[in-house]
Amino acid sequence: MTQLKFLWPITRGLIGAIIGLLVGLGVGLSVSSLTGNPATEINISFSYVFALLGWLLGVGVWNSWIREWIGIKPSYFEAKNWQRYFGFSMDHKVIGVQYLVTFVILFLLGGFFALLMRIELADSGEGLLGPNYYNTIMSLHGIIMVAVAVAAIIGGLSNYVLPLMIGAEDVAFPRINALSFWIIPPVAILLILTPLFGGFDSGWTAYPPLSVTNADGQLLFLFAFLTFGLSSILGGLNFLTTTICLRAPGMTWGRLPIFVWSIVAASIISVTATQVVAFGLLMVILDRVAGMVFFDAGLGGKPLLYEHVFWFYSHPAVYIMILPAFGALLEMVSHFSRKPLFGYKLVVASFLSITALSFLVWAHHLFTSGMDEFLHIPFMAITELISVPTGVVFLSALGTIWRGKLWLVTPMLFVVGTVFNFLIGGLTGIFLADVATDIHLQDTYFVVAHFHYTMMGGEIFMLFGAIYYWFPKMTGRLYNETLGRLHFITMFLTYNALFITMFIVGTNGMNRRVWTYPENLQDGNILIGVFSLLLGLSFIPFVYNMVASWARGTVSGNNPWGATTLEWATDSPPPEENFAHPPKVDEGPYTYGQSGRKETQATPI
Amino acid sequence: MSTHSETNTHIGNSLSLKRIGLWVFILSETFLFGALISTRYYLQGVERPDHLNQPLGLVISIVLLMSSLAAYRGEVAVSYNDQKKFRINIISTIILASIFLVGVGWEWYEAFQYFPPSSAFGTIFFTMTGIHAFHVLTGMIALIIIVKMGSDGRFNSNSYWGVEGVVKYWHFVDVAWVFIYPTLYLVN
Amino acid sequence: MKNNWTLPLFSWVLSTVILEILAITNLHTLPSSGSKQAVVIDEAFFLLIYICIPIFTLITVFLIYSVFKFRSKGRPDKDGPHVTNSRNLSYVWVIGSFILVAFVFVHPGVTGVLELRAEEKRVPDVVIQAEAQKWSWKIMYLKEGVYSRNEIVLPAYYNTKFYVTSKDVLHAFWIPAFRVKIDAVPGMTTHVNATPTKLGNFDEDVNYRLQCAELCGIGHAQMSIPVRVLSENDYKTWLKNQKSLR
Ligand code: HEA
Ligand code: HEA
Ligand code: CUA
Ligand SMILES: [Cu+2]
Repeated sequence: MTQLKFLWPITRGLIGAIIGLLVGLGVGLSVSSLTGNPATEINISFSYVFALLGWLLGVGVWNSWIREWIGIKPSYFEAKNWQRYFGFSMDHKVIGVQYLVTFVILFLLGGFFALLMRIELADSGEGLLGPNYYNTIMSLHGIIMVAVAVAAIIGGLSNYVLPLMIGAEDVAFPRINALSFWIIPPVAILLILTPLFGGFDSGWTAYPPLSVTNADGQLLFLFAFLTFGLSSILGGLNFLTTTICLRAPGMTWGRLPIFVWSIVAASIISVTATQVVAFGLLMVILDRVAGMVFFDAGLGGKPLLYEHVFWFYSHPAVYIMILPAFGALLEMVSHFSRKPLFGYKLVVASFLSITALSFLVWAHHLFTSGMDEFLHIPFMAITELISVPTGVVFLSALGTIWRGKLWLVTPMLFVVGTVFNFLIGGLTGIFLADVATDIHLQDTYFVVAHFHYTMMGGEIFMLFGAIYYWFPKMTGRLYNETLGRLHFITMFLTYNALFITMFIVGTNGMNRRVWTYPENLQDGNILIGVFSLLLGLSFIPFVYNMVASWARGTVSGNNPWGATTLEWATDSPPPEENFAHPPKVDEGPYTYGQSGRKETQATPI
Repeated sequence: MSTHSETNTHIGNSLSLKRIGLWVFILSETFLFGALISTRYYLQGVERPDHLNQPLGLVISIVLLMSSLAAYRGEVAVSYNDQKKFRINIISTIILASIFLVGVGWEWYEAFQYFPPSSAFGTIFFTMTGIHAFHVLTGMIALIIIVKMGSDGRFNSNSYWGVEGVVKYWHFVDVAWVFIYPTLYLVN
Repeated sequence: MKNNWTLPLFSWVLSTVILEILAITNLHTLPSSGSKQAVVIDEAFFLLIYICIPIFTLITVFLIYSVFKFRSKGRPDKDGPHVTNSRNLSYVWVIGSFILVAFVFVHPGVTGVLELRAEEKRVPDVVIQAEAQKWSWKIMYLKEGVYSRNEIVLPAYYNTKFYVTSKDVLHAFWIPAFRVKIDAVPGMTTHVNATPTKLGNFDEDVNYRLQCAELCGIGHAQMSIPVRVLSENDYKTWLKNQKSLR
């Protein structure tokens, strides 16, 4: 029994959730009988809110506050070793790993859904899923992957390394940090439960009026997205405050590693824009549950309102995804080229201008939506303008590689692959930003291929690269290089084969979110299906490599890459207080090639 | 990047940390209210039904502004270590806030007859006042907590972040109303 | 130093030329084009491809070149040069990409929009209302008083204006062969113009179909009806037959 003590928080959380569920159900029943509104929706809403609170209470998020209030000494049990990853912990390093593992699992699950879709689409007629399940699986794939892309690097990697990089002991608000992780499991559970409630066939965008009138599963989706937004706001708040306040002495803004800058830029977006989408989702919930008419055209509502509100968040959100990836990319480019980052200041400026511009381009998703026509040209202009600061990232990457001493280990291979992929993703964005071509391409697989090139080719590739890069930091062990390269090469090749084909199919007139399509497109779709199965296989070496190397990889030493940033100056894995001796900084982050640089004490690899 | 061992004096101390955290949070909430207000104009333009209870709206606005004043005086009092004045002022803030909430409830009751949630203006009206009232409610809970903490002797003139934070948040909630009130009651 | 630049620059030019030639001669990924609007849109599409190719090759060639040229076997034992910036290169890059963006914005961006709008501003020869409802289309030839639920019939060479409405959720009006697309939004009437430039029908070319392009629930994938473009005379006969049917 004592061995299982580490499972206490989760168990208590589940018990709390069940109690909350029952209480909520009771409240819901009384409310619905009082008002006579649709009972199931009200019940779901109340049950969920109470279950969420019960879960958080049980897990221990508010333990010490409550204890303090009723006058018991605050204390919380924290397990040791690997066991602490299963319990409530306020250590950013533990939370980072918890985030990362959760989201890698979710990524594989989302990919599994994608495989189901591809099997259905291998046949132009009815295949595996059919009309009843296709839309739900597709929407689940979309929202799970979006969540992965938004939170995996920020919540996982930057949670782990950002405080180390700036020489802090922890993030600014450790308890809020834990809270923002512990509201993720309910999100995942809600999403996975949706098929039991009739699924939701609205895609990840959930446009009303469809999302107001379809099955109850939609409500679960709305709550899941809303909760996820909350987590994202809290995370952003934490990272901003941490960077503003907790930098080690001497760590001026000009000495921040570029990855930290990218997190700052992304966090600005997530604390602000997320509120707006939360409101959008709330409007849909109110329409469904409280009988309001935001989107009921017959009673004075306007469906287009949602599209504006949604994209006001969701366009900036794509930069929440890609900015940390850019940061990680440039970070690694410098270390693995053994050269300082090219144009550091320019890159910082471009990150900040991307942040600013990202709020002003949302309507490029609405060129064919019937919005006022005078908006087309301005939004086209600003959207295309954003490629100038984005292009700076390419300048910086190439400028750093140029005449460097390239060390082509797995993370660096991922960097090279990402530059290539995101170039295609970005350039095809221009086709969509152009009003004329977008009229044809909107809602075709061209768009689908575009955003897989940016989100997967840019963000997810960098996620994997960064996992390899910081793996020794987190575990104190080396991953297996051969398996890492095998993962990269198979993933890179199959990935490109898959999504290039998608561009062709898309321009050819295959529209998205369909389970059946004209027969002349079948050949392309079969190819895509085959490549996606192969792509799925490429993750086997990854998973094996991570698990096996964590358990019994070679011990890495503190700084296997000989990198110059602060996170490598402490032990690997770092002690609980991060730095045995609090650091003081007197140089910039990338000192490569500076005369008199003391070669960082590196262990040979 | 070289490191020396030295005492860990972070650039920020824990007070500025909390302050900045709160400001970031307020920035975030601004976007929520911004979205609320834009939605009103998007859906309804500047149309306004005749049945709004104007006198009531004005009264509760004044009540809410007065509560902000009381909260401010409470914060000043605690900074001078005047516990009694602190308690009186914060409690009057809470009372004024409850009057505000009762007023909103009354308006809701009337609104149900003229523009229920299932009408376009009703949708806006109930959502805006509802979300705002929710913020007032959370603010009230926070105020109650600081009253209790104050009576446990937890604040003095050197350390009263709890009061400062809650009062700042309260001002923010009031300012939000300053924007909501005209969007609902005055524009035409 | 100089050597470093010549090979990649040369390969850049070469690969650009090769890709451009391939693109101009071999790229047929768009569906068959059957309307004036399609011509505008296709021109914009191909122009963007021609513009993007040199950007793509520039970055790819330099990337691949540097990876091979500057790689070190195993762990590098020395650092690269301490170069943190190059003001001139940065200026060239930023201003260059800005000029490119400005160019792309004006042409095909603004010019494309204006060309499409010019077509819309003309007085339409035929006016059709398309009403979407889960999961079917109702095509109404208002002036002629003809309704159709299972196909759209259009006269060739006539500027046709479609007014698009929806009775329930969002749908979208999309004819791949014409490239035109507009959402059907409840509570609003949206519109789009198409001028067919040749005869065609669904049986010969699947792109002659009216396909719903905005997710609208279970039946979304199958919410499509055939399009038939007839000559003026055939079209008139068709209209007459339809009327007599009613
Ligand atoms: C990480 C995610 C990510 C990123 C970074 C981007 C980046 C960009 N996106 Fe993308 N986009 C998505 C994710 C992303 N997008 C998603 C998820 C959707 C669909 C959502 C849905 O409907 O479900 C979407 C949809 C989408 C649309 C709407 C399509 C439609 O539905 O009709 C448009 C239209 O303008 C667009 C444009 C752009 C542009 C211009 C960029 C630019 O930022 C790209 C800039 C980069 C470059 C241009 C390359 C590098 C630049 C240079 C080398 C300089 C020189 C270049 C030039 C002069 C051209 N995107
Ligand atoms: C980060 C974002 C991301 C990523 C990485 C992916 C990855 C993939 N996506 Fe996804 N996709 C989206 C984001 C993403 N997608 C979004 C936002 C949409 C829009 C949804 C909408 O329209 O609403 C979308 C839509 C979308 C569509 C269009 C559906 C439609 O419009 O009808 C398709 C079709 O092929 C597709 C395919 C794929 C494939 C084959 C992969 C592959 O790369 C996946 C590779 C991974 C695997 C194959 C996993 C392998 C693992 C296993 C096999 C182990 C099994 C594990 C368990 C059971 C736990 N995606
Ligand atoms: Cu109608 Cu999709
Ligand atoms: Cu966008």
